[in-house]
Amino acid sequence: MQSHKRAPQRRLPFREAFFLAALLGAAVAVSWASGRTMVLNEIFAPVLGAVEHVTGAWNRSVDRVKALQTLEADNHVLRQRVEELESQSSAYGEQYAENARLHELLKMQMPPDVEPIIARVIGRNPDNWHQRLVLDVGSAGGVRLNGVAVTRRGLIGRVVAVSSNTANVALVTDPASSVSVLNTRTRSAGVMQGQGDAWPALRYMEQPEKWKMGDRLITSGFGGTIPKGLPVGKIVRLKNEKGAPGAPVQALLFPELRVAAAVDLDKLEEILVLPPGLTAVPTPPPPPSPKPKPSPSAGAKARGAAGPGGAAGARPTARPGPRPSPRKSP
Amino acid sequence: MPITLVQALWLLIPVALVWQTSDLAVLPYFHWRLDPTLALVILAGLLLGPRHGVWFGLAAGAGQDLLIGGGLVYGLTKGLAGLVAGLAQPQIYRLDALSLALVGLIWTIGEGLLVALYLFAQGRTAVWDHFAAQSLPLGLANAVLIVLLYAWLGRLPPPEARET
Repeated sequence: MQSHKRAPQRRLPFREAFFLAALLGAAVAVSWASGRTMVLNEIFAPVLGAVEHVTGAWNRSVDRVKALQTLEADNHVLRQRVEELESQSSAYGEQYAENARLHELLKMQMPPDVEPIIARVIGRNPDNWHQRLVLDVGSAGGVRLNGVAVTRRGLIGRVVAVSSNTANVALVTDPASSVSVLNTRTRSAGVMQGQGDAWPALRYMEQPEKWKMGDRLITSGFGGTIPKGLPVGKIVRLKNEKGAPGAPVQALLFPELRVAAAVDLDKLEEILVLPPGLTAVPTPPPPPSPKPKPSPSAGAKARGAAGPGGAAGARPTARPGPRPSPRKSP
Repeated sequence: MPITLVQALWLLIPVALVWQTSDLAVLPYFHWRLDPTLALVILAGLLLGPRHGVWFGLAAGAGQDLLIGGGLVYGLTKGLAGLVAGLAQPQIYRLDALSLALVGLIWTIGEGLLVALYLFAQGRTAVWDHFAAQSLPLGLANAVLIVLLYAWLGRLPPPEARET
């Protein structure tokens, strides 16, 4: 007789499950009754967090794969955008600098009825012997032969050739340039001749023994083309030796003095062109000075010194009044 | 159709003139301005003969004079440079880098001397210091420039080669 041994039947743990459910129900009921309505969230929070972690990682992976498809195109677009912005930034910087330079030029007080022309330097002489500029304004823009080229710092040169849309300016260092100058210390006159290098020479000086290194020179106004009083430069060299400031010029029978121009002629970008034959000189703006503390006595003194109609220290040649707006080169 | 030497030179001369008027032609350390038109004129004389040399020299020099604002000093000196280079060409044993550099150096100094004499005749007495300071560095720079230009222009066919 074959005996069959019956395998032990696995019984579902109904009783334990019921016990747990009852316990859970009781806990929920007690929590609900005590006002803790978020009890289920608290119970399931670890599970929800784990599920969210997994699904989040999955979603991010999917997004990353999707982004890879457009990455190259996006990169191309962004690179173009960066190039555009860099170009714009550079252009804005250049415009800002130009604006500042033009602003400086326009600060000059012009004599009445004088219409200065702002010109841009577009070229230089193509050799090593001349010192000339090519301007982007010509006779059509109002530039005339022998017009006077200046910046805020002083004299640059003279217009020596004009076409309808360009003009050539011979700098004070050009061999063709001769400017009559005055020594501001001794008030004696001389002639400054360009030599083709950076240092024009002084000739035909009155009382040459009185001229010293470091003396400042202005235009004398002799000849009638260039107005009197424009800063020209200062004496810096005797022959080819650097002279100490204040040293007298007595070493030579025919001393050859060299002058450093008041304007840095290598770094000109925009200049003013004045008509030839001016008698009044344009004056640079006064340097900014700290405002004194207002006091009644000082104010009265200042008013007295200025007189009834003008400012103290104002040059007679630069009369205040409506200044004509300068023409800008096209 | 390959470009001929004459065409290349006529194209290069305006380019060289514009280059000379810009700050790009200034040697960085010495602050002297290169003279590529002179280099082209000398090459025109050496490679094409005195007649072409004179015409190229006159044209390039006149252009330079116009850019300066008048005068004819460079028209004459560069015309002379083209003529001398063209006449000297048969005397040169072989056109190599050394002979080209020597011609460039000598004529750059020669042109400087002529311009200095011209200015001296106008009453500028300080031109000799300027000449002494500029002639050697400028001549050396132009000598190098001529050799470099010859490396390209020397390969181009002269006008008669195109006709045949």
